[in-house]
Amino acid sequence: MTIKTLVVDDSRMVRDLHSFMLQSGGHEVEGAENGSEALERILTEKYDLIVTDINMPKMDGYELARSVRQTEGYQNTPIIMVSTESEAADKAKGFEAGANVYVVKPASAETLLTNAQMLVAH
Amino acid sequence: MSDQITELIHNLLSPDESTRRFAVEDLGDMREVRAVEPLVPLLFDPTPAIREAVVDSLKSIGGEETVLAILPALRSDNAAVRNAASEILQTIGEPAIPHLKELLQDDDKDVRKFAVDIMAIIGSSKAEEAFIEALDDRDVNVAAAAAEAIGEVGSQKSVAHLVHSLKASTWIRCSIAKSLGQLGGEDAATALQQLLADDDPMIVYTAVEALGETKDARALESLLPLLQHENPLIMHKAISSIEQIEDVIPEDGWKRLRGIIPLDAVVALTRDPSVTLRQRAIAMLGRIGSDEALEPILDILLSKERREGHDLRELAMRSLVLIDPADLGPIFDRLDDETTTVEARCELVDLLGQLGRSEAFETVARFLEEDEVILQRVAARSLVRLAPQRAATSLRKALRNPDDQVRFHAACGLAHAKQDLDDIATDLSPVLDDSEFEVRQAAARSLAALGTDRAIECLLSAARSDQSARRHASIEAMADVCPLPEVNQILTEAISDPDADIAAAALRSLTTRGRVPVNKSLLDCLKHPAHTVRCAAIQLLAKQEPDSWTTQILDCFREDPAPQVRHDCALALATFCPPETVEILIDYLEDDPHPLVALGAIEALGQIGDEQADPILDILICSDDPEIVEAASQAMDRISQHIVLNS
Repeated sequence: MTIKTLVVDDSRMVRDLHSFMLQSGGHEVEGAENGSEALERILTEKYDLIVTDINMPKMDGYELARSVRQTEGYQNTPIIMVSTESEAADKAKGFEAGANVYVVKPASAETLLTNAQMLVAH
Repeated sequence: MSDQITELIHNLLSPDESTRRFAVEDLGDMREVRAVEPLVPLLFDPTPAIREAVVDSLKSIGGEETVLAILPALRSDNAAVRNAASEILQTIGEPAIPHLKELLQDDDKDVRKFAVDIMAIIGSSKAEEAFIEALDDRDVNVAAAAAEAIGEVGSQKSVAHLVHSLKASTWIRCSIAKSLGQLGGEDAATALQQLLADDDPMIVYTAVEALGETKDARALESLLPLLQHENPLIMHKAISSIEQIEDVIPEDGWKRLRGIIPLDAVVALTRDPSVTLRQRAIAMLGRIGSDEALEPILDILLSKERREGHDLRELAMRSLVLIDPADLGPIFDRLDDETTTVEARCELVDLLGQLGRSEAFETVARFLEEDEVILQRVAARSLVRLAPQRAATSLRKALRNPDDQVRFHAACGLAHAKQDLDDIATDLSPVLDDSEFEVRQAAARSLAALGTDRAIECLLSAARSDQSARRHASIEAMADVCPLPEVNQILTEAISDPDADIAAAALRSLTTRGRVPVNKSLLDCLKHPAHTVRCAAIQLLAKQEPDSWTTQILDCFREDPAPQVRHDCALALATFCPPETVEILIDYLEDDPHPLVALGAIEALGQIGDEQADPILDILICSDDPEIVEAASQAMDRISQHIVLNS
């Protein structure tokens, strides 16, 4: 079964590269520029996995994760947070908001895909 | 400090939400610099609406004071506050640049990255040097952001620095590749072409995309071989990049590139499961224009695929026309193949018509004799395209075909005949009695196009016929007949025809022909029971010199029950413009107008160009009806142009 993934990042290049990595692993990928665009998408489409940045305009990654968890049908959807912020406190905030995995940028294809497969399989 | 400002700053600490919010908004509206320091802590206010208001107010106040006060917020633990600070600095723009540049030396990598990202969004070329320095930042994310920022604001002088930094990590190289694509130029293109040989697929993928971004036709030589790349993502990206460059390829460009195009790979893509890819491949094969692509695209044209929902037929047809194969043999073979379905034959006959090659004439003509009506229709249409002269004999015969569409195409096609014109006119004359109006109309138009004495005689005789169907078709076609006095007389008489359709047709034909004497019969048409006749009469009168009857148009505008008539009256009034017109149109628009009539009145006011109309147009531009808004905006533009011209 194809995994349908939403990649959220305000940098087009990061979106493209994360999409490339995930597509190489067989994911069907769509992109959103920020948290609020992502939220609009999840209301009309069903995604199996969300990969999101933290620092984005309009709605940041923490707020997105919290909103996703309150959306019907998304309570258990895996969320991977990918951010340049590497402090333990940042990671703790990510998990608290609802992320399942926290990856520090730049993420390698192997890290992203391994986590994605593990989360979706689980 | 004035009492009012002191009070507003004091109110920022109020426990009451509304008081705090109003104070934030008022201080922003006043652009009060002294409010900056007290406003910043409210970025942490528990009420989202107040936080948003603080962002808006600090953006409005702007200036260096706001920059200095907001910079520490970039270090906040709260992501929403950091993003709010970033948004404020982006809006302030240039005054923030020197301070953001200083932050590039900060110990905190996240602050350095924020500074780069904000400067990139501000888009100031003053930051270019700082970005170049940041390419060597010890943190990969900062260096990658700097490389990306150079693509947004940099110039050719950055290209050498970017190329030099290509030895860095994957992410930085990807960012550099993207920026090289944005900056373009020969050095950037060369560096990107070298990256296509990289071992890392992510680098190759980004370089392919960047080459498309250069929109440089020279990149095609590197991109085309990638159409057979083993990594499907890279191959798909190569197609997108080639499409981006296509617009700048000279007409003979594809022919010169044929040697390096992996035709088999492109043909294989026409069978890809992705419809988008198939579409791109079919379009590309058309542009390549190679005969070798004929058979695979014919397969698509005739496949059952299109009947399953993905309509690729049109695209395949366009590509086949572009290919314009030297040898039509494969198309004839498929037509002769007994297993080819009737529908597929229709496509092939249509293709032959679109190719317009006379050697296909005999083949297509034979389908006019087929039992299948749909084949006869396509054949009739295609024959005219292939050789209108030679087609005449077959088309004359087809005028008696039982199928109305075949008769229609035959009648249309005979307009192009160049020989035996009187005989053709004789054949067309009885078709003016055809049971189908469109066939009668086509025959009448073809008679008008033939233009011989015999053809015109047929039309005139039909116009005097007792049968209204025959009269109607010929009156309509007379618009384009040479200016014989007899034609004008027949048309002038026909405006009193008891059949409203004929009266309206006569008025339309007269309108096309230009000036006519305005007589009582014509003015009586303004009171005709059929609104189509009244509209046609108004349009005809609008083409005449203004006279006393303009008052009758004014009356119609005020009193006619049909909105379409009043719409046309408004436009007619704009051409005559009697003195009271502007006032009448404005009065009408002020009093809850009918939307259609309002559109006519607004257009008329724009045409007249009187600035008295500006106040009402100012109101209408805020209407809920998008058509009214569009019309009002256009009218205002036209009035402005009138004013400029007159001054």
